[in-house]
Amino acid sequence: MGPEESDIVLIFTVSATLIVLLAIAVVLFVLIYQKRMVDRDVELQKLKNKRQHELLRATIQGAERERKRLAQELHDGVGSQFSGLQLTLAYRAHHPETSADQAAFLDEACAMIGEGLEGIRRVSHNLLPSTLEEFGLIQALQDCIAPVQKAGFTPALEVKGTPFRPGTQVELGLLRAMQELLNNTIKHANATQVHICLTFDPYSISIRYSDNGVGLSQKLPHSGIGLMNIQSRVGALGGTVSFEGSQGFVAKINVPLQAPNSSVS
Amino acid sequence: MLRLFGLLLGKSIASRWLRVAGATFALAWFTNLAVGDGLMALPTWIRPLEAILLVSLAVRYFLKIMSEGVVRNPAKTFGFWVSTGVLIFFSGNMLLFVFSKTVSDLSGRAYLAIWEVHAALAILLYLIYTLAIVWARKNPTSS
Repeated sequence: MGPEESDIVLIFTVSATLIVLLAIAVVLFVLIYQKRMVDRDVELQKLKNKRQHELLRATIQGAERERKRLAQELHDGVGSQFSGLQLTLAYRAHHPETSADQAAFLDEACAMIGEGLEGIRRVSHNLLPSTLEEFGLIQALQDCIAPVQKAGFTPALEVKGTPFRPGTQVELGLLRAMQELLNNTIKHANATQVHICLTFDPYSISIRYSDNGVGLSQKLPHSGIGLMNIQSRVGALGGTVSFEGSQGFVAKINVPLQAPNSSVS
Repeated sequence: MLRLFGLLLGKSIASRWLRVAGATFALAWFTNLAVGDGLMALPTWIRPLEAILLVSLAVRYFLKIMSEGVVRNPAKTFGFWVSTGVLIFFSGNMLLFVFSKTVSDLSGRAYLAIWEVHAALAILLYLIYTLAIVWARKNPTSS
């Protein structure tokens, strides 16, 4: 091989090497670029999810604040006025100048006002379950299922693990979910039995709700809105919910807790 | 290869362009055979044309995955490794293809030395194709 040929071979070899290195650089650039894009997309999606989560939480908290205000307004405002009216009418009914007919009429009016007051108290209590704030989730759930018992159902509340107070937001979210499920059962399920199992774990709280009704598929479509509300509420707490409904209806809710709890309520 | 890149590129490239490219290349090859260099001669411009066409398609595939952002990890896909092999092999051999006449006039040892570069690139190409087949077997749905 002469010097001229050696130069040609060298030029070919070096050029081919450089071009191959350039091609490898292009390939590496594609890989790195794609990795960065994917990382950025994942980060964006996380931010988006976090924002949606915060929005949902804020919406639910706003609704709860409004419920609380409305409940207080009903209980302290309208309720007090009706109580005053009832007392006045009762006083008038038993006044010596009041005739027997008038007294009977006023007593009837008092009884009607009493029923109205009872209704206001019930609505107020549903809007703001004071038991929840004072005595916790278990007592609030017992209060919640007591009227169901009167309606002819056989509800059962079972508690597993060591009970503790996981915080108002979690308790309120779970109570609202239970109220929604009980409502669904009463309105659409044709059930006779309801079983609620509340499990306290140091890292989570879970509820298994079941009834012996018609199941999920045969419930009316608008019960789906209630189930979606439950999903939103539990989602806002960072929990999961699942529904099954071939034989009766079963809902499983699990809410993880930020820090392990062990305090007894 | 055109069919393969047609599948890899999907809707991002009009299939009629691939058909036109294939037909043009076939026509050029037959013309070169009939009235140009003939069957036994080294193809002087057909190979560079083929290399340019395939390198363009490989680059087009890379641009597609970069713009779409659907493929999360390209290194685990069949298409990425096929395109990588094509890009490295055909771009590395471009000078050899363009100056094939000059190379064929060289003495035995010089010719052999350049041929060794070509052989090394061919080995690299088939190693990369092996990787592509491995990923195609592991993840058949990925492109």
